[in-house]
Amino acid sequence: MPGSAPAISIENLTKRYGNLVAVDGISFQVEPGELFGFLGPNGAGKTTTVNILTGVSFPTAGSADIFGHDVVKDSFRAKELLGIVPEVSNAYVEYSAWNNLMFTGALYGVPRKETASRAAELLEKFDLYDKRAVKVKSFSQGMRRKLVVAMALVNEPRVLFMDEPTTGLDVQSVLTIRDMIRELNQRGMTIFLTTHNLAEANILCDRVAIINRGKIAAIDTPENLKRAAQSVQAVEVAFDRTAAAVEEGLASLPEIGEVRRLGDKLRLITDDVPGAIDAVTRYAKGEGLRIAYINTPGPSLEDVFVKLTGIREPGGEGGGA
Amino acid sequence: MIRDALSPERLGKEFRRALVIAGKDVRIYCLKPPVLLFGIVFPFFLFLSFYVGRKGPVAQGIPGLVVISLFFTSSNIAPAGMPFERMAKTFNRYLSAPISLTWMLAGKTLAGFAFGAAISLLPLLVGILGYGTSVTSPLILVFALLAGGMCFSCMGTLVASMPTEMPGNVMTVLNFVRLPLLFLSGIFIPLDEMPGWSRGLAVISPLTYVNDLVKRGAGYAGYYPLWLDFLVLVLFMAVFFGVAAWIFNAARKRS
Repeated sequence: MPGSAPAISIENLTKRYGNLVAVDGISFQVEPGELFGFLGPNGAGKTTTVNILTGVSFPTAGSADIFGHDVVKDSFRAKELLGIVPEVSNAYVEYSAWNNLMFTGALYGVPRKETASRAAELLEKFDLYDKRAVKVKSFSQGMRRKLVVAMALVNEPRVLFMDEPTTGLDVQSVLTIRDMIRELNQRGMTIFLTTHNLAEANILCDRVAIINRGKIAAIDTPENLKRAAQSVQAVEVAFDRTAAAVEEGLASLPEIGEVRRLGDKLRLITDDVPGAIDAVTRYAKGEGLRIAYINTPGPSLEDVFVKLTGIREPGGEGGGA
Repeated sequence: MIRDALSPERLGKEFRRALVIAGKDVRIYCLKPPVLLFGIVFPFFLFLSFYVGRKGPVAQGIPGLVVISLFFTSSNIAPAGMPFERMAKTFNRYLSAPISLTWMLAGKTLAGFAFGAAISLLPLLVGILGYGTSVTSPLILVFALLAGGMCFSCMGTLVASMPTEMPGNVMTVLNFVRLPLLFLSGIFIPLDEMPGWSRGLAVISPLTYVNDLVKRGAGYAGYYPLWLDFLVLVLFMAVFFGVAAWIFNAARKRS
């Protein structure tokens, strides 16, 4: 029943392209008001899933509902409840920012006066009001991204799909969009956030699902996922100077399984934390390095991701603003 | 669900949103270079080059120019716009918006129709005001422009179903189809003066029936019965639009 239904419900959803299974019988639910992260490496099936949920594509098998409305059989009603921020900033470049918002409002059946008032409010919020009459073709990438987010909100959707909303933005714009995501979620909007940025998912999401090769590898709160990955242990260390040779030297130590660079720090994955600390100390002394920082953090969402997918995400915990 | 799709409330919403898409397309695409070049400039010079050789009174050629304008402009908007929209990913906006694929295509088709009908009035007005072209049956002429504009626009929508992001590819196919239809339609050589084989081929060109109707509206004798002209145009319209919708839907299932 649509009244008491989950915001998003997916049951055995499958999408095949010939012999390739892009999405392989996935099932999960997103509750109303939840901020849900959908993570996975490239080609894992994230965009295919979102395309089915938003009506761009059809599933080969299985079903998906938005507040109880089937996205295939009752797509009109389902889509009335959605706002979409696609990965590509697809505003109409021949139109002004204002006309883009007015067009989107009309396409979603929002009365003209209401659209105009929301458009003005959204453009003010995103610092675009002064440019409202300017054609989008002259906008920077950041301005286009903000406009596309505004377009997704003009119909006040109950479920907002955001595909990599902060990719390619400057720090200020990233922070503005993150604040806005939190604010919308606090107002009760369900948000389905697809991202490569694990730090972003970690700080924003109530729950995350990790999809890999078309299957859901894990689904839980970020903290529960990290707890479940306690077997992944690490030592973080920073020296007074770092070079590629230092990374290679540390990677060759038998106590250390893998070395990941996090800015000026190195994250050393190990099964034996005390042994790794001893080995690092010996190595630093031998190479004439001074240890500027050393810590033994718990597993990060990136560790969980790597453990479950076996793939390193270049824009992981250390990436993003 | 089907009852919901056919409810007056739902149909009203879909129709209004189709008009929103049509309005946007007219505003954005009517000034695109391929539309101006292949929709207005090219047909005008094509007509001029053929008509100058015939040395007949200009008024006599006006119905033909009206039909050519209607044909080239109405069939131009969707093929010029859709590849751009696929490239810019704005096409996905329609697919994820609360409007069915059929109504979205209807909006695109209405844009071509509105643009073509408006442009075709220009040579008609020039003919009436400047060269004494007479309109003896205004009602037939109006219906000819409405039915012809819709039919040609549906043809444009069908050609635009080609899954490409390059406007040039679609325009090439469109002109490959349009030019033979133009020469088979009785605009340059009247149907009763054509050899039997080309008169036989003329029946497969929707342009033939629109030309027949427009000429009738301007006081000339028609070749086919009036009802047949309209019936065939409606059938062409249904086939063009139906096949286009089927292709778009199949592409969406594959995507």
